[in-house]
Amino acid sequence: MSKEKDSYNWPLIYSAIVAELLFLMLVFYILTDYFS
Amino acid sequence: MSVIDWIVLGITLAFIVLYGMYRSRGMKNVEGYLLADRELPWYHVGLSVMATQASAITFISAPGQAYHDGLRFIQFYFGLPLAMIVLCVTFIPVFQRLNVYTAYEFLEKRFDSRTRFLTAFLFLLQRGLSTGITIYAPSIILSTILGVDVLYTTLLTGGLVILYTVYGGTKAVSHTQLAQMLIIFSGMILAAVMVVKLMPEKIGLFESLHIAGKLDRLNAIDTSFDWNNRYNIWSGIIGGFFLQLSYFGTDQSQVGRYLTGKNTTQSRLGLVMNGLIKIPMQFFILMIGVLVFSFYQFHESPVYFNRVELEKAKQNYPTEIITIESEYREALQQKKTQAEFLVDAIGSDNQQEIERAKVSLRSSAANAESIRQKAIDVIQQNNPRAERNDSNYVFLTFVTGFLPTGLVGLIMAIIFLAAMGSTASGLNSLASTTVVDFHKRLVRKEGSEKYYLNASRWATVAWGAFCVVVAIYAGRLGNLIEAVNILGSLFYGTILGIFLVAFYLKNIQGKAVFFAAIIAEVFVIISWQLELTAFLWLNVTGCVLVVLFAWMLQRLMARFK
Repeated sequence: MSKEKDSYNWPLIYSAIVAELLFLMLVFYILTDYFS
Repeated sequence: MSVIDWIVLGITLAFIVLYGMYRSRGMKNVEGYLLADRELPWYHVGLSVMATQASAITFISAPGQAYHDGLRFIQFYFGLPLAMIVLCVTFIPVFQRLNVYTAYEFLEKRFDSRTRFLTAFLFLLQRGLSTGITIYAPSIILSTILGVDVLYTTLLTGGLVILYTVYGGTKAVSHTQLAQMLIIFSGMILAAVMVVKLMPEKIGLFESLHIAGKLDRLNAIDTSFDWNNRYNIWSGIIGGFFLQLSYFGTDQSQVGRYLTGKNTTQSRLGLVMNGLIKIPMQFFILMIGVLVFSFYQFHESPVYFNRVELEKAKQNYPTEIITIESEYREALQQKKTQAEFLVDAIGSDNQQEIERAKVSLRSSAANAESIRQKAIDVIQQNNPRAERNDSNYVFLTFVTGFLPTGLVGLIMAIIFLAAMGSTASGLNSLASTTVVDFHKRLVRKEGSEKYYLNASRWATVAWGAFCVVVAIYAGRLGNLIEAVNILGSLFYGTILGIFLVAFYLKNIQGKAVFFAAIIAEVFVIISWQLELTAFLWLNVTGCVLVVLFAWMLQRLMARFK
């Protein structure tokens, strides 16, 4: 691995990971509740 | 399996082995062999990381687990995306700056050789045994399903992996994993489509989900807190976070995968990909199990999915098993009628009707289950070592019984490929740790590229042979699988604690962390012996205790200096 500067907005990427996790948990919660 | 299925299976396996050998031809140096010349792009890194974690058991057991237990296992992965963020922020830049081959090399640079050897040794012990089990677990299941001796399925899986891993090292492992994951994804999507297509005419995806939900199979979220409940949202997020951070950050079988990235950005993006895809992928696999469950509400399921054990019991207790099977068939018929009532009620959108049908369906499902338990009692009476849980056999019984010719061979190939993918990473990491952390450090510090390349190849052969021997004897040693799982959970937290101290507590030195790790480990073992918490929490306990004790010991040592 070599070190390089990149143009990625890492805080935004990490926020997207957390947002996706929260979204999936909400979907799973609705799924659990709706079909039970 | 038909001849066509065997041909599909044979061609797929041969393709993977030849592809791996072709992509890694002309290997000349040890960096190429152990780290694929550090030149892989992010999607390669991401798929390789995912293929390493997804063993054959993921594809065999997870649908079966969802069949019996519902979706709640998905919560186990909730900590994974958060762990990926910590790895991207902390672990990758440090490993990159120090230009290490293994995670344990870093510990000597930060602390001392003693801490490095201890951690690397624990890794070799745990990974060596668990890679053997990675070969054994699917081999025993495939031997039952295919009607072939377990020795042959074990030798086939182990032999093929050893062939391309020894020849092409990490490069072969990563390239084959990319192809394996593409085949696995395609096959699993086809299987899911087929389950829905095979449902009775008036049952679509929506009705299937309703039936599964009414019988508690869509229980994806459990918000209640209980220290001894293995799968709830809290143990998943907190315990799962520590477990995944430890696995991806300190287990060389994973560290070795993202060290192959062309640069820090590519390695990070690979882990981001894993963080984004892992939960949806696992959900999809579990959902296949849920759909198979709905499918079996309208089709006759065997009273016990492990056909071999059932037949053995039938030979010694024919009257009991035949009577139970006949009772079970009647109960299934009743359950099918209730499921059809429920579907009609859902169609009419009458809430009272739906509720009434749900109660009746649950009652007939409970009745069928109690009859099934009687059958399992007889099976265990016949063979006390037979497991009560037959979930490992659910999905493949469905595949061989109902999927079309060709797809059956492909699914079987997927199981072999998944076993080969994670085994290849295991062997490769065992070889790199043996050569880099022990051989190069203790036996021969200076040597030519050719010398270390050969040493790495021989180490892979030796570990391959060791793992196949573990796999062959695993069945005779009873609870070895469980023992290996426990072994992993017992050490992961402590190892993670050592790494976290190394990264975040700069004033703590080697002596303090070494003894802190030993004391913490004793606490973890006591906590496990006394069954104080569910497994996932042991990872948290070990990690927190190492950090705490290391901090206290460092202060004490500073005071008495």
